[in-house]
Amino acid sequence: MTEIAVPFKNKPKLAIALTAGFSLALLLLPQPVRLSFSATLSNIIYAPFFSIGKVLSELLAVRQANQSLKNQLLQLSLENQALKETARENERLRGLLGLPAPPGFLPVAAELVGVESTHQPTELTVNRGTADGIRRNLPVVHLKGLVGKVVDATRNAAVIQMLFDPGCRVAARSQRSRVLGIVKWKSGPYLSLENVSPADDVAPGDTIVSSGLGGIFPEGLVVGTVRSVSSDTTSIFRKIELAPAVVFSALDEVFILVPHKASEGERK
Amino acid sequence: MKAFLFSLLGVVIFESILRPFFSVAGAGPDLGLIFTAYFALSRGAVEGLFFGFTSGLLVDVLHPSLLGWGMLLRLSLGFWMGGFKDNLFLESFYSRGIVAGLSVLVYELGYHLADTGFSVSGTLYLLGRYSLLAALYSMLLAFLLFYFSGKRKPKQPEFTL
Repeated sequence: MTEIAVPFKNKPKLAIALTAGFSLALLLLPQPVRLSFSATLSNIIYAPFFSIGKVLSELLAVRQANQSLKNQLLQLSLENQALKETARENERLRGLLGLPAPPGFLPVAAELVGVESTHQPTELTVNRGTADGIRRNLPVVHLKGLVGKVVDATRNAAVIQMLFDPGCRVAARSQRSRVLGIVKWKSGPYLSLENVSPADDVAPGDTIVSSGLGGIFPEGLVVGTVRSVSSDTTSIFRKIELAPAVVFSALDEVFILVPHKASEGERK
Repeated sequence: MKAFLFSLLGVVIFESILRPFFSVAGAGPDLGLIFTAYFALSRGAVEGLFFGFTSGLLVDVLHPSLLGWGMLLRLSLGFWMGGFKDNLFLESFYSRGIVAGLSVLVYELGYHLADTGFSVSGTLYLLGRYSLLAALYSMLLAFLLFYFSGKRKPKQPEFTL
């Protein structure tokens, strides 16, 4: 053990007298002098350490604030995403509110609850069924146009056959020239307007709407737009390709058109 | 002497920077008294007295209303603990830690008595609320200090022919 060179090592009584005397002297000093002495001494001894302590505590506070702000940012980001989603939904629903239902029909909003997991689905399931007045062969539309028809309905769900189903046919006509035809799917991402003779006036860009002649789809529902028309005059029918009006891969809500006599009367 | 000065520096750093980080339920260890106990029990009464005096001065300047009183208590405790230096009963680090913890309790008692104007109820409240925990905390730290200082190998004496 190394010795410490303390003063009065061998004179403990003197050491006690001096240190205790000094302490008592400090204790008996008048208050202002004592405060001034303490302030001076603490400024000399502690000032640099207090500065370091202040910097450290500020750093810690900044770190905590940073963590808190990160959490807040994450929360706000999630809220922002939810709000954006709500805004998009709001916009979509506002558009759907302006959906012009054909005379005699009332639109029943339905949400998709199931869709085939193929690259080009032909059927989808919605959350409305016979309890909502849904039955087979009711037309199904979206804001942009015709989607298909109901092929099956249970109490709380219905299956919709879309225009891309090979078994789906829609009696249609050109909105401009009133030329009649039948819309069906043949292959690929487009539809086809069949039974149009080469002499009929159908041109690319024409809007094709339902003609109402098939008995299922009311008149005037937009089916698609003519994309190409074959110029082969030797065949019996022209080959007309349609781009469907509805983006089937982006559907989330549809409207099932339910016949309604009162509505029909009001409209009339 | 280096150990003496470094310990004082440790007290200053602890009191000015580290105390808030070591506080538990408002009570922190009394590093000044732990070191006082260390010097008193390992080197003697006068060393304990001087460390108690200087560390008391360093701590008291932060609480100027009782400037001098803390010093007086600490130097007295340092001197008192130094009397146990050669006591065989205090060979183990446990008993040395207990002495350090007791000295903190006595110091707190004396300090709070003066601080509350010798009010017994006020002193008892402060003792129960802070001082017991502070004494316990200091005792644990003192255990560590005495344990590790006891494990240090003493320097080999140099022989010259």
